[in-house]
Amino acid sequence: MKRASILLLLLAWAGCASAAPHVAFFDVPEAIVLGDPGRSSVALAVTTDGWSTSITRSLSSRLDVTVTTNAQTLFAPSARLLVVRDLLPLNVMTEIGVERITLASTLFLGPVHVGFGRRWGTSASRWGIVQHAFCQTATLLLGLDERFGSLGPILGLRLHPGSTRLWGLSAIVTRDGLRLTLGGTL
Amino acid sequence: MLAVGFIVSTGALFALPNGATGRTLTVLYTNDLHLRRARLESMAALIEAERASGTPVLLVDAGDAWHDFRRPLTAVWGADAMVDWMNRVGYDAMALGNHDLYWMSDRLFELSDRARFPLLCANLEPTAEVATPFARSVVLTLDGIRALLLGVVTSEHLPYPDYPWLRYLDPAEAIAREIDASDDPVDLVVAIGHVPVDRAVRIVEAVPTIDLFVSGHSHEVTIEPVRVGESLVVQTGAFGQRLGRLVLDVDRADEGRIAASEFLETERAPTAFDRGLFQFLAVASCLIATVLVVVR
Repeated sequence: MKRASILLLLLAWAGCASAAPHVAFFDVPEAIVLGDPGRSSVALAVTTDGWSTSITRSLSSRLDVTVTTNAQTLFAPSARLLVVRDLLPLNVMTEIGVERITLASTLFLGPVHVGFGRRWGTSASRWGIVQHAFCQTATLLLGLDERFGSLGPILGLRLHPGSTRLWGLSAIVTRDGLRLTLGGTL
Repeated sequence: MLAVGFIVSTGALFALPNGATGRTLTVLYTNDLHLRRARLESMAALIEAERASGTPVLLVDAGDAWHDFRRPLTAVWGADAMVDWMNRVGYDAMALGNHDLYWMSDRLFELSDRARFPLLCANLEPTAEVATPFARSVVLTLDGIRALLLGVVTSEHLPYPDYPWLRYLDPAEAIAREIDASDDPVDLVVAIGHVPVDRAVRIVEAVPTIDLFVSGHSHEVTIEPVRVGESLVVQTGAFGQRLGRLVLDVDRADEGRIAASEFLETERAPTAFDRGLFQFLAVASCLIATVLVVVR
């Protein structure tokens, strides 16, 4: 698995950045991919359970591959495929990992994104999140997730202190505690 | 003489002041069409009639022409149709509106490529390596009259997350910078800005070299052009209810610059309802299916 992951990343590295990336980094599941073949994003997250880092590489305008490393797993590869793109405001994305499958939909309504999704396998859950980018530098996240029949809140703030939104940091509170993420697009 | 004959024949609101001997330009303007197609054929006829008069015509739109989710059925197919209509009637330029940006970048590139006129925005600056679907400005020559056209967009309700590679700049600073950077000598500086009238006035106060500011976003109607020093600010409501018409004496900067100013009312015509129904049902089905997968 480790060799396959490295090979996958090396192959992906052969592309070159050419167009506009769709998103800076991924701190909550959203129906979007990097969208610019050859571009990469990185994210470093700290939670109450420990840390994790992930590197995402765009293979095509619809497909990303990600390798995540955390305290429990050295390499956890996954692939994110944009199944439906720009169907009016709707995108639908599926993410396939080693032990889980995720389906996420997002309605892109300008500064407001309404997302909902479901994950099967480990950490099975369902969620709905509303994001509001009320200015150039900040986005507020508010939502609910459901696990084993009980609902929990999702509350977060994403900040982009630079002149663009290519890099940012976020703090998201869920029933699991605080998750801090620093990430961006290369 | 051409201007005199034209104004008499159309019954314009303002008479041509004595002493106006310069070149005349007719500016036709729209803003916030928002995919409303019911009045477009009527508007096309008005534009055609204006062109037939022989006066050079500058036709511009101040943004939000290509998008409106309040009309979901039209929104499915309307943007392509709107661009085609704007191509057909011969728009010279369009400012980028905040709603036009609600299309994600891939779709906006498609629409911009389809348009045979430039999409303008000077105050959204990309990072170095990313191309944009819009230009900052363009210089046009209309019967020997050279006009610098610049676009700006409001910061209100912008979809910042969908364009992480763009940096928002102050519109006045962006326009001033663009005018300074332009080497071409021009007769007229026209800002096409998707900003409300009061904001446009403040921009013109900061950059008095703007001769005309065609504004949008707030759906206001300037009964008469707002004068700020020697500059003018106009806006024509929304949804294609009227076409703004301004006849300018390009060689004057005083009150006599306006040879005529009026709004030409358009008429509604029935539009096909079934168009886009299949696409709309596809969107609804996909949405319902994903909701069911998540909820059940």
